[in-house]
Amino acid sequence: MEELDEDIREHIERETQENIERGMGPEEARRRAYVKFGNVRRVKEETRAVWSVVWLEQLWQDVLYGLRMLRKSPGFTTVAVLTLALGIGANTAMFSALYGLVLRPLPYTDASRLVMLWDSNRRTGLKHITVMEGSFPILASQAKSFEGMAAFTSADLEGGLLAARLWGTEERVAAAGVSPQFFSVLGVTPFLGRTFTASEGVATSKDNKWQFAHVAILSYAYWRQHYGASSDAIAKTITVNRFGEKRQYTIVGVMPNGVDFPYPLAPRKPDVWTNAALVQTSLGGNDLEVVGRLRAGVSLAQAQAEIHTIADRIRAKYPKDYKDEDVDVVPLSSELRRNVGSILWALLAAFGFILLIGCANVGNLLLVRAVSREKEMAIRATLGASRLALLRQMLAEAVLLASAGGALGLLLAYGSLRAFLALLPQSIYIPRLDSVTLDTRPLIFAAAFSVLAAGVFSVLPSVRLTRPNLNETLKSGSACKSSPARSVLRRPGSVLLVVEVSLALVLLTGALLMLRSMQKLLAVNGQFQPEHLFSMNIVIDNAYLNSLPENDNDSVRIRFEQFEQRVAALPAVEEVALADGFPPVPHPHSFDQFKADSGGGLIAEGFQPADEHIVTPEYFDMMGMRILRGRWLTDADRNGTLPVAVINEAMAQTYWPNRDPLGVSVEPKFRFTDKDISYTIVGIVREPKQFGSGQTPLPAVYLCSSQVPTAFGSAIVRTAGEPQGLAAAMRNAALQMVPGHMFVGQVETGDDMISKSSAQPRFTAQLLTAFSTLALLLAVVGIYGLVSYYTSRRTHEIGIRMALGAQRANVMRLVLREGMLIVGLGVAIGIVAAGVFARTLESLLYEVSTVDFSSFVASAVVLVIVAVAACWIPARRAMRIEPMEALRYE
Amino acid sequence: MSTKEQKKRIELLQGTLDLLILRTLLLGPTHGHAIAKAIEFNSDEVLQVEQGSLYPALHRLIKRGWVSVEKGTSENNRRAKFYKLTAKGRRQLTVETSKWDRVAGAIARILRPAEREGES
Repeated sequence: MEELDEDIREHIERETQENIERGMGPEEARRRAYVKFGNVRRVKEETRAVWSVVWLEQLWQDVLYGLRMLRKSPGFTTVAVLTLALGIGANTAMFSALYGLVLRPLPYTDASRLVMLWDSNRRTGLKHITVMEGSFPILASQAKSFEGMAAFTSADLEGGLLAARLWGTEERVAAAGVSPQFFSVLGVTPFLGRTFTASEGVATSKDNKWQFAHVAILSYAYWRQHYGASSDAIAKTITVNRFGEKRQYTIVGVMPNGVDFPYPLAPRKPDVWTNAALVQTSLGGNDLEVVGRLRAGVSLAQAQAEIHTIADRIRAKYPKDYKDEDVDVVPLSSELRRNVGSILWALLAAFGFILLIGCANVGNLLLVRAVSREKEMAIRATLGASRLALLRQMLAEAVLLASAGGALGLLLAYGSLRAFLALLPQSIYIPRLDSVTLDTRPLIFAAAFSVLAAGVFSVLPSVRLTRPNLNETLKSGSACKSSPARSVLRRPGSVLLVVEVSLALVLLTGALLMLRSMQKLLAVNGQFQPEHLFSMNIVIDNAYLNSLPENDNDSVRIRFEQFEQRVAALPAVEEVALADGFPPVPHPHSFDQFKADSGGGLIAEGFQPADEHIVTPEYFDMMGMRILRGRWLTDADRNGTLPVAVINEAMAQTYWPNRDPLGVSVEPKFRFTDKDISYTIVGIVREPKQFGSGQTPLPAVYLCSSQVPTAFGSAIVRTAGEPQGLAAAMRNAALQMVPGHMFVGQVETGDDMISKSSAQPRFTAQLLTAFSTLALLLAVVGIYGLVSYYTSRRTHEIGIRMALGAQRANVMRLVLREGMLIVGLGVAIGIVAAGVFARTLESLLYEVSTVDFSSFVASAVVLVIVAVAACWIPARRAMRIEPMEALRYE
Repeated sequence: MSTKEQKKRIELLQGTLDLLILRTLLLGPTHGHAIAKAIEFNSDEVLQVEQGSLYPALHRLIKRGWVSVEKGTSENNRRAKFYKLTAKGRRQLTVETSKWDRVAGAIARILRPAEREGES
């Protein structure tokens, strides 16, 4: 076609040439050639029309015919479109969420070249350990496959108790310490001011004291909020109180909007970045998170290989302390996926099932319609319609349905996404929730889904219809042959229905598992009612601590005990616990480290990561923990008695896979006093999984606050009911601990706590319940529709049977038996599939096995009962058939 | 001269053109301009083809699979598209020709009944 222009030009050229040969002038020759050719534009249009008009017209006819057919059966059309809209809408919304949370690349230049570096331990098998401080400069300076490498620490973003004094009030500031190369690795430049200089990233030792600059860069949001977006902010100082120690940071720059790394790897967006000054002379501890930018063209494998050889060199330099360390290079994109719990995948599967069930239902409806249209199709085929034409007709109808469903689904997606985001408890920590929007990609996804759906549910009927056995169909009329039960499954629609039933069973089982898990949680936690919990952060400042005599370990402890008693005496307060941070915020890796003094195990030879929690004995009840072995901390564990520790199950399994850790003593890396104290393990506990992000818990050590001097912590209070004025009374009691030296945070209410703790499994359970109800409903509609349809097709046959003496009960049994055959097969397949699905829920389940017998049985029973009900109605209708009427039918 | 000549020429009926193209191509593959010339020449320049209308017709025939296209060079080494009769087109030509004969015969009988009687 595109050569048509050239063709015509060529033609005119020849004609002109001929005219010239006949003796015309060139001008005249050309003019005559054009006259003879006629209207060039019209010729082109007509030629193009040759190629386009036919299929366009055919399509138009198919569409018109399809619309007419759909309009003729409004019931069918409505059900089909609504079902599809539901499936497509829910899936589009879910995909939008997933895309925004996980798949959308981070907003940095060439984000695909950004990687994270993590230490791993070759002996314990632990991965994602923060990098050792002294190894970072070696890695950064020697690695040739990297354009740049930067260290940072997000520890202060979540657990740290930082407060900045602003206009006389203090508030928490989320700070990330970063090395000077940090911003250039990300490829961002400051909006105002500058980034950190190389010298600001180094700590120097002078007179046995570490010295380094204190400079800060503000985030765009923090700058707007607290400095009114004024450029005067540069060179101002910000006073940050870190664990009771005040430091003045000079503001040197402001980052542009959208720069918020290490978020979403770390749970919070930083308000400020401070300079991380590194000690370069010793190996130090595993303190650093490292981000790097690969050189263009360097593959991940190449970078990893080079980093391994550098790790070997570091090992040669520090043969003892670096013995088992190695360094892994992980793409940043996969880090994002790691942080999203299995909740999203489980939900995505649930949404997918709904769509599949929806498609199966619409497919069945189409199939049933197709069967009743067999005659029409046969006639059309006899009149000369080609197979292709019939197929095209079927596809046109399917595509019409799918587009209508898709369009409506899009509206639904928009609504349900907003509902999803609104329903999602505020502080279930899901990184990047703010970047979830319904943009072009999900729209493309919805369109693809519609087309796919149309394909799925039109394939079966089309295949069947395009092979019509004309003779058979035209002859048979509607007289039915009696069908033995075995042939039921050969009927069109039965297979889809079996699939539908099994998918519904899978969702139902998943929901039941989650519900049972919730039940167990509530039962185990008996007293754990987040609705009645309050918590508050308390810090005593360093001025007071420094004024205490060197070996005074009791003053602070006594102040905390007095505070505890004062709060316990408040009206409605049932129990008070103290912890060094509450509620525990899920973070992908540990910042604390322990070493075993004795008893072997994998932790014996060097410090290994393990979360440290300093708590009072009451904490156990508050958190709903369970003792697996030994005992929990008690009031008898005091200053002066044997220092004890309780470890969690994950710690026992990781570090002592083959031996009993009870009785072993462990030593924390960061000492609390000048003396080395080791703590003897007296118990192993299991924490409820709800406090994590749905991931396996990391190794953790619980120490008794009476045996560990701390000057900061969270008070957790359980109350009866919702007492008025408790928050103020708690704050008051805290401020009176050491008047004038207290930093007291806001009291967090039950709502905050719910969302931070048990909200996620509750939310998952609720969503799964909603979906399984929906699935069940769709399956029921499917079963009812198909059984009704086949029963009505057999009215004639049933009439004959009854005329020949069949009892009404026999007729009913006949209909029920056929329905049940389908349901039975669906249930059998569904149970197997549910077993697979349950495994994706494993990390979300508490104390419920993924092969929990009762859940599987219960869901099967529910499904069968509902299915019997769905068959019952058509069966009763069949039973009431009057033989004479039935025989006159037709 | 032009007025006189125009009167003698006959505008082609649509559809007849297809037949003429097929017939022309029976002699061998050739390019568009040559087809137009051949039709004019072989009908002693009585049949007036508006040359442009050749192209939609050619494409219609290509689409039906009666004519195929191949690229080549013409007598004086110019690049040109050659239209060629396919086997299907060849069959179609016989069908169309006999149809034309029947129609032409029928029309002739209607228009000249006397002559026909005379003949027989």
